[in-house]
Amino acid sequence: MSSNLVKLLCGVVAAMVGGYLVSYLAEIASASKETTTPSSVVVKPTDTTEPEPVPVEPVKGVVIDEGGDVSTNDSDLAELDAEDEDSDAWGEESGDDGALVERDPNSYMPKVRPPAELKDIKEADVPEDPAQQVMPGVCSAGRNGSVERNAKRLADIYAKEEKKGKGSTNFRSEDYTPDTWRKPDVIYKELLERILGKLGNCSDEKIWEFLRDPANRLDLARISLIRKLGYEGIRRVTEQKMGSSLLFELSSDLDWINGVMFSGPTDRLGQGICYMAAIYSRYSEDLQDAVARRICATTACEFARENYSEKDMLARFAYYYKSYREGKLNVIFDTLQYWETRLVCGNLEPGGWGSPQSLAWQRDNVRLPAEGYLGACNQLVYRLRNVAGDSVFSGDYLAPILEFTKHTTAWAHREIGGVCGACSHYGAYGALASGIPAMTMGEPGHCAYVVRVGNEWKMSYSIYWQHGMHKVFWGQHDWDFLILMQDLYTERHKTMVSDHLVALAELMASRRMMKNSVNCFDAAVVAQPLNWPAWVAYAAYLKQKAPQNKDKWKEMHDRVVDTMANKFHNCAATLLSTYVYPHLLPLEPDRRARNKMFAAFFKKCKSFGTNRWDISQLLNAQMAGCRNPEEQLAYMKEALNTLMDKPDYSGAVLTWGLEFIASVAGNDAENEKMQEEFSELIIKTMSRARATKKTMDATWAALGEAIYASASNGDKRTFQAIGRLAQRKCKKMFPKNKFKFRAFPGKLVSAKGLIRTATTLSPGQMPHCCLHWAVLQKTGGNIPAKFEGTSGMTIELEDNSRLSGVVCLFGEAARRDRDFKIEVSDDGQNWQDSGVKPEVSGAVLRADLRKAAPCARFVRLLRGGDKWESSIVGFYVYGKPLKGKK
Amino acid sequence: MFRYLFLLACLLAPLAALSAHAADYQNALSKASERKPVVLFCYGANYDKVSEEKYELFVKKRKIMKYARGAIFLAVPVYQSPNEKEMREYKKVMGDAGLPGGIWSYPCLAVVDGSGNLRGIVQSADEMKDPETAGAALALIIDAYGDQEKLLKKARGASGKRQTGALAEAADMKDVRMPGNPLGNGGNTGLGSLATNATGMLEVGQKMQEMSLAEAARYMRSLIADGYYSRRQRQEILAAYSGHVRRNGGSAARLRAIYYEMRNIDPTSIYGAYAEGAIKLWVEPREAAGEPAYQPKPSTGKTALGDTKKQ
Repeated sequence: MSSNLVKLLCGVVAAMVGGYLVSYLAEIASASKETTTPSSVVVKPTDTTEPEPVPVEPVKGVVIDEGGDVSTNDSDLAELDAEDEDSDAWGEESGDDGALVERDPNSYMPKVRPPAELKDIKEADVPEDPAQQVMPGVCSAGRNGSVERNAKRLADIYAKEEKKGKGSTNFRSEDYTPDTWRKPDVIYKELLERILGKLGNCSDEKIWEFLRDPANRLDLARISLIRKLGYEGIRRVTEQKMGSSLLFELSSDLDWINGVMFSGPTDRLGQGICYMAAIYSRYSEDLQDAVARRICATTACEFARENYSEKDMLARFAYYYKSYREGKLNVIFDTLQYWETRLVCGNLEPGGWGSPQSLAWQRDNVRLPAEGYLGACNQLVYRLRNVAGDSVFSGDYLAPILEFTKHTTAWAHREIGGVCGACSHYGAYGALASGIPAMTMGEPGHCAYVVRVGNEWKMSYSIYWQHGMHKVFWGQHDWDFLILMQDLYTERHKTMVSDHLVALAELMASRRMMKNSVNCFDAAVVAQPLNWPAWVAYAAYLKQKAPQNKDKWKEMHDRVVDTMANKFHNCAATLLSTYVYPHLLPLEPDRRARNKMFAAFFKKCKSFGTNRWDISQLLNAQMAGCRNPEEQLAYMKEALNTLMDKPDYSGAVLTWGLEFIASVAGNDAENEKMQEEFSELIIKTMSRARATKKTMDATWAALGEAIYASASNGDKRTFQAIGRLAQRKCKKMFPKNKFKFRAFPGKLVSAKGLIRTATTLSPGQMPHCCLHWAVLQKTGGNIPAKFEGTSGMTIELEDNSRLSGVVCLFGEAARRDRDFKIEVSDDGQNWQDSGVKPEVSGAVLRADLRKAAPCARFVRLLRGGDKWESSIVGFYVYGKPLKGKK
Repeated sequence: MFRYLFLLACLLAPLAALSAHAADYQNALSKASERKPVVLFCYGANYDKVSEEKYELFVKKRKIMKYARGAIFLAVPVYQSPNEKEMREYKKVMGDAGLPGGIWSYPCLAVVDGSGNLRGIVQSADEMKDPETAGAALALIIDAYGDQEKLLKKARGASGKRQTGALAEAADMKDVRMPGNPLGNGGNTGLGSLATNATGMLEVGQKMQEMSLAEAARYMRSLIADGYYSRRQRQEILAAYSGHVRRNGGSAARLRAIYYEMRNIDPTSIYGAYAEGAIKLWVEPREAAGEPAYQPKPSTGKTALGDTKKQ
């Protein structure tokens, strides 16, 4: 029975499997057939299109070894080698004549530009209403509260509309046909009449009521568009192929026009709308899709803003639109807002990294989750010189493989390598190619990048605290502004309310309705205190209309401090120092009142905030408000007292103070006295800093920063004072070496001097700068050594001295083949060789100057070449001080 | 009874050869052997439409299985900003292990050995465009993996030049990568090192900087002749030498000869392409300007490792 069952079972299985087995065997056969055909295998890495095969020159006599080896003894190359045996042709290294493929890392940090000038709002030639020419007083707390509540309610309405329309308000109104757009003046007048009619007396209530209706918001966006472009600009668009149709479509769709007008800067908007028309004339059918409209608007506006060509803009649009249609982008892209899409589609470098070709290659070959792009930079080998020894800064680095990689920047770098610029671009543009917001950023002498993961911007490849973002909206490159932008648009409905209020304010201003305009500006910054462009526009209007109105400027100051400064210290400080202080401080004669204002700001700064920032701009702006040296001294005292208690700021404020002292240094007695007073004040303040177990690291770092600044400024007195102070307060941080070496006769004339190195210090080295001072002391310290050209180790002695010898102690045994030399100088400018060749034995370098016995105030140790040398732990100059003699 | 069971086993055996699915990564690694690596299908599970499409086709419709050569197959979902549920899903497959280094793009087919080393990968859009293309590339990797494992086994059992020869042969194999520690002796392969300095420059090139052309040529020849280097390394040595010759006034004829030699070591490699590009860029314009062209002579067939005619 059981055997029958097994037979039956086997029969069934055999019948089932048999058929499968046949097909399986056939598949195996076909698979192995395919795998044995080399042509079916794709060569790695690949492009989206079929890669061209590597052209292979017919082999003419050079032996191809099946095993991969080539002839040596008898090869033609070997003969050529032999021919050159005697020629020994040494030529000068030829210059890099190719185009640069990698930027100088020092150029990645965006240049600090002067703050943007506040622009005047142009007024129409309309009769002035005396009732409107009154500057409103300071807003009451009641009004502010009411504005906040109403703005929130309105933002909720915007959000509800969007939710109802599944991501868009879907509001359309086709009032203005393509033909009507040929007469923008007529449309403008009609819109103006309609808007002003609905706003009535422009009370707060009327404004909220007006903005609640999407039809009104559409009118507001339309009139703002005409105002930005001017009648001429609109006419230029209508002259474009399908330009009128674009204006009709754009002005009929609330989401689209809001996206153009209120999702970021609108510089060169006329050109942007012309670019949109160029896209529309080619893709009018496709532009019925909301995502296509988003890509169109953002690409066009950003390319116009960056002043890139129409051809590049069309190529970029085509890349993103096609990739989106084909489902090749990360799903993040589908739900991006307009502002975020600007960062993606408007990414920089329309050629090179941002070319459609390179983007497509990265999209297809570097497909990762958003966080994966933070490590994508490591897919490139870090190589300053390629395998043939060509520098990354020359065209020769990539040139031979450009044809193979079809001039695809990302692909070429992945094959050959790159340095920080290429690695960071590879990571950032990998994310951008997939539709994820990202950008490169400059750091001093370095390039890094950021990728947005979720709603958070994350850094990669970063080595310094200073970051200069490369893609910015408002001309501000600091990290704080990136986070501000993120927070601003995360609350996008609230921001939209604020933007609408600014649009109304500017409309009122153009109609010479100052009172209404100021009320609207006020409401805009209360509704969304992070709205940077709203603050700047408001400040511009105040400058134009009420430059002497202390109350309004003070109100603006207090509002910035109460709101923006809570999180965005750097942004608030920039706003105050650039746009508020220049007007407010001259109007405030009372020093105490001014210091109180400053203290109010610093009270908000418990730490650096989103990132370390340079406080010197703010402190300089505050100092500029002082009218005489007494006020300056009092201000500095106040600033030092306030900031020295904040561990994050103490080093920075000391550095600023020391730099200020250096800037007032002069020959006249008054400046000399002032400098002395400042120095004493700083040292006194530092002496008060406590260095308990808990605060030891912070004090050590603050003193380190300060001593570095004093060395950079050549301020020997402060350098020594800080060194001694550090030894007293942070004794544990200093080494206790007992060096054994043969000293020279005479006094140690360098112990009270100043030591400087040309080395750029990394953030990790900066806190330990007090050890530079210790290098001059008997117990020793540590200072990084860099020897390149005329850079080396320079010591300014306590006094002009007749020298007997120099001893330098390295961290580890020095190479004996190094060509060290000692130079001396009276002024630190004109140097003379001591004429003595230093002897190196282990880690000790000795230069016996007894025979030459030069008189000098400065001594420096140099070495040729640019190779690495270990750090220096002790540096001692011996001799006899020549007091009073030069 | 046993006859029937044997028959049943025989009938089912080919099914097993298709590929074996593993429950999780550790299970897959434990099942791996010299001829049966682990194939990971890694795909973007919550952010990538391309991955979803390939998962459907390759895994759900089992279109890739016939190329897996009996390897242990495992699908690994990779999540973007995963929530807790997704983290659990990933952990269910991978446990606490991370994916092997060297995966640069999803979806991909990663071939991994029993120690978790990435030994080969199919990952570009072109390679992954359909199951047939991906399958062909995968099958090549799996076959090469088996052959490479044999060579490594041979190397482990040998010493001196025999060991180095086997290792060099294993390193030269197309489509597969060497494991991190091929001899199980802490990574010392015995293969010649072309270490790079802090700026990524080959030490060979750096040494040549100090030499005359003739010295550099002798140095280059001595390196290539000792047989301790893989094909790619020999191309790199020639590249370093070519750069030195080019920057120090070497003739166009000499450059062409170097680039020919470099290309012919492996014309389909990146340095084969580099040599081709270099000829167009730095040799042909000089020849067109009248410099004597390279005149190759018929080969005697002798190479550094012997007479090719006899082999």
